[in-house]
Amino acid sequence: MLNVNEITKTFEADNRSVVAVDRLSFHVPKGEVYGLLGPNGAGKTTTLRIILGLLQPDSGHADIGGIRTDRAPMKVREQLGMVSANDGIYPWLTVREILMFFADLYGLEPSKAAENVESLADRFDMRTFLDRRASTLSTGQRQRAILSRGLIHDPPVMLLDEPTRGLDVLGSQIVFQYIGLLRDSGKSVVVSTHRLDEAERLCDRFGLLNKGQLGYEGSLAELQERSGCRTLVEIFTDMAGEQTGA
Amino acid sequence: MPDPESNSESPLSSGAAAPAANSNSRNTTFARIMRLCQKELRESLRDRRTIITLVLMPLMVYPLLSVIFQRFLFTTADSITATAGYVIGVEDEESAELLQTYLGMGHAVFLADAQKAARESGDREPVETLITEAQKLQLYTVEDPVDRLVRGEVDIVVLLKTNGEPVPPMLVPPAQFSFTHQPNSAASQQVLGIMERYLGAVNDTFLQQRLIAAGESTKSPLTMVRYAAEEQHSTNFSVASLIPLILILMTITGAVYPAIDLTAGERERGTLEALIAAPVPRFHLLLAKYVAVVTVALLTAAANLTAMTVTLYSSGIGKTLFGDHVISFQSILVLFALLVLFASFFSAVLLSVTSFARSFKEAQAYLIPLMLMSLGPGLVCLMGLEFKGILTVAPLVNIVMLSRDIFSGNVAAGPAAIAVISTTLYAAVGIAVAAKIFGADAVLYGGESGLTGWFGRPEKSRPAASLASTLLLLATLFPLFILLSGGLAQLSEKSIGVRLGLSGAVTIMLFGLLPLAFAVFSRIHVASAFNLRPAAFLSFLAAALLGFSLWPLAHELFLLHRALLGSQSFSPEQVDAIQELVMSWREISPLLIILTLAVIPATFEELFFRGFLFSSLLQNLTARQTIIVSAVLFGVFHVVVMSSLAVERFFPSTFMGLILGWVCYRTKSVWPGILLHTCHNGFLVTIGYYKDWLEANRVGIQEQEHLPANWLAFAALGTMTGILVFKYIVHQDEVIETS
Repeated sequence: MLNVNEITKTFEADNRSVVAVDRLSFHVPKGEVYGLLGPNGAGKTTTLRIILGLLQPDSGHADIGGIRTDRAPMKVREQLGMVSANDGIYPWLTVREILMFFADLYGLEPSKAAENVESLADRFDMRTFLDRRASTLSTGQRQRAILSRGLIHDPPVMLLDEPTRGLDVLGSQIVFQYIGLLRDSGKSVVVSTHRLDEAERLCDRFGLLNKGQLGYEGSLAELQERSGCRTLVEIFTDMAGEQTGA
Repeated sequence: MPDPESNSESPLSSGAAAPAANSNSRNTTFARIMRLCQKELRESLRDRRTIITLVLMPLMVYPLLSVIFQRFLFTTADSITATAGYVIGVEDEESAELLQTYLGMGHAVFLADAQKAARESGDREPVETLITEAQKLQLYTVEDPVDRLVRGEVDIVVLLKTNGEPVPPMLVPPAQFSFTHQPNSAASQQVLGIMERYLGAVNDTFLQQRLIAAGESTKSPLTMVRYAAEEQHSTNFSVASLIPLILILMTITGAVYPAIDLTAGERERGTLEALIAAPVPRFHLLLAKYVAVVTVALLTAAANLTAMTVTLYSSGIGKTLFGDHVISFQSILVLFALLVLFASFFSAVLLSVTSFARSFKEAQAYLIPLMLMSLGPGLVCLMGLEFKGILTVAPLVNIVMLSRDIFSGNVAAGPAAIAVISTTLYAAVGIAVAAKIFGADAVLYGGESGLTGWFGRPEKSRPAASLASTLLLLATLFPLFILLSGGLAQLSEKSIGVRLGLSGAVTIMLFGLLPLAFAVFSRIHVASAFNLRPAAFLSFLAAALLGFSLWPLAHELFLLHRALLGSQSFSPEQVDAIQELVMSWREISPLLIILTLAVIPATFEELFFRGFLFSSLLQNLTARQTIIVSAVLFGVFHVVVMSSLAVERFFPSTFMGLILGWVCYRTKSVWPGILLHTCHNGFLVTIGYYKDWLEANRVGIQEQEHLPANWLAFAALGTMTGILVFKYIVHQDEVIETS
């Protein structure tokens, strides 16, 4: 469903070029949760932003079902949902208004949008605060509203950028259930995180990024076999050591 | 908590289908932008900070200002009364003496009444007040008293006319007093009132005496006529000049908060990325925010205007500030229209600045210098400068000065139109810049490309300029054009050869070199942007035919416009100046005239209007829209002549612009248009050059007369033939392409 082909992105910082993503390629079929893993600064978020069309790669491209982000960015965006740890919410609008607004941005008919809002309200237990302004919501309620917003247009591909960052145990649990739900409904999911322990529980396959380059890729069993290590943390440490020549 | 078992239909039912259920009616660009605007407005208007600026500020500021004004005015009035008194300017000693006598008589009447009342009531205060009041009336004989009034050196001017009639018994000869006063000066208004009371009392006393004598005429011997000094074009400082400035500053205040909140605030809240990631063009998102900011600014303006008007009327300060020239409902409407224009412009500027910021605080830091700069135009306005020249195109300054002139009821159409056009252009540039910055990588993710990324040279070349670049060029070109046209008009002492040479150089610079520099800097492909493709030979013949045939039709449009307008834009002096200019052409070679007035303007105006501008517009608009927009802009530029406006030139020039645009679109080349334009200009210039000879041979072409019917018939025939030839060429090209 989602294909990333040889994308490279360089940023200018302090008068020098920094390669954020270096000839990165991966593929995520329907119903698979792909973990894009790596430490801070590995290039995970940049990769997701390139897929979304928010950043232009220096070379390479991403596509969804054959539609390329560089050639038809708007069409690609219609197929994508995005939830990030940095996401905020409009404080003066109600949860229903926020969801209806995003449904409109994605071109949904009002009747369909209203249907989706009701469905998401049931799924995410939002009935009690659906018509409350976002500024009055608790952290957990805000989180559920944000997760629902990403799904309002029922995208076939979901991108989750550090979805558990800053959350407590209960908050993280909601995210885990959310990801399970996405997998069950047949969506292609990319989860970017540096929490390797969580990723082990959530993802079907993994891409281990370090300094913009994809070191290892595969299922946990494949990675264990290839590296001879047992956990993702050990596998990642092994990969980082290989890349630095240590 | 997510419940996987509930409702299996939507929105998690399918992971494969495209989510967007598009419908044409729902997704038309306009409808979507309107819905986006609704959301932005809802968000802004629910924010209590917006409401405070919108409602509470006007409710508090104007009553407070009225108290300060009143205190200031009363203090001023008291200080005048207490120390210097009222300065009355008269022309000569005789007038002073006579006026002093009559004022003394009038004062005596009031004093007698007051003394009588004081005897009865025991209250002597009115008597003391009257005595003090009379002592403050100081008459001075001065030269050019009206001029001194305008300069604020005297409070009122009294001119005396006796008509040489015999002095009747009772020592009161018939006389007319003309009062020229300052409507915006409290002292002037007060002394006017005192004198009218005193001289009115003289009249009343005289009439009473006459009636007592019975049988005598009851006609008043003294008549008084008021003249407001504003008719002398007063430009000195007045408190009333502050009013438009306050309104404009309050409108700015209304726009600032939503502008920050909807851009930098959105980023700070973490909602911007999700918004930008939606399948909606960034420009549409920005446009919705722009409309929301303008709407809030206008609501603020309306609230302020209402609060100000109510305060001025209810406190009575309006009468004190503006004297007899009380603000009319029409003035308020015009002022509001101007605030609409101002809000459109300033909101665009605000969004450009706040889109650049990455946080609320950063936006506030950027806006402080902008707000301080906004005070500058207010100070210029208070300096009492005349609204003309560079001031008409100076951003912000022009709107403040125009508002001032609207308040004083002293608006000139030319500068007002230039201010409106230039401000509209600046607003368009502001939106274009904001659209470029809003949601850009560097703002979203803090890249370091920043300004160089947005305003530096692009890496790739492009076939035509972007709309934003073209708007920027237009906004640079228009004020330069106004300034240089005005400058050329001031060179009347130079020889005609020098003036024509400079005029040609200005045309080359503005319409040729400036767009060329823009194109080179922006890596725009010159040949395609300026439509420099070759054209078929036959198209040049058709262009020449149109060039020689169109002028009678354009001339008739000129007359039609003038007939509809009912007057002409040029004063008799300007008409004389133009005729003198045409006469002076004969001092030099006709070839130089043709070169500077036909070939150069035709070539370079075509390169810009049907080249650079046309190709840029065609990227964003349909062919029909491109032809119309470029023609209207062509017409607007031709309205400015010798630093004034010749509105009647708009229709013929726009008509020519439409034909030239059509020719360019059909031939995809600027060259036939250049020939057409040259033939058109050249023919008219030649007629002007040989006017005397033509009139001597009875081929008189008076500007005000319609052309003979057979001329018009030939012109129509030539035009039709030219158009048919163009259609034939296009048809031939299509046949070749198809085959």
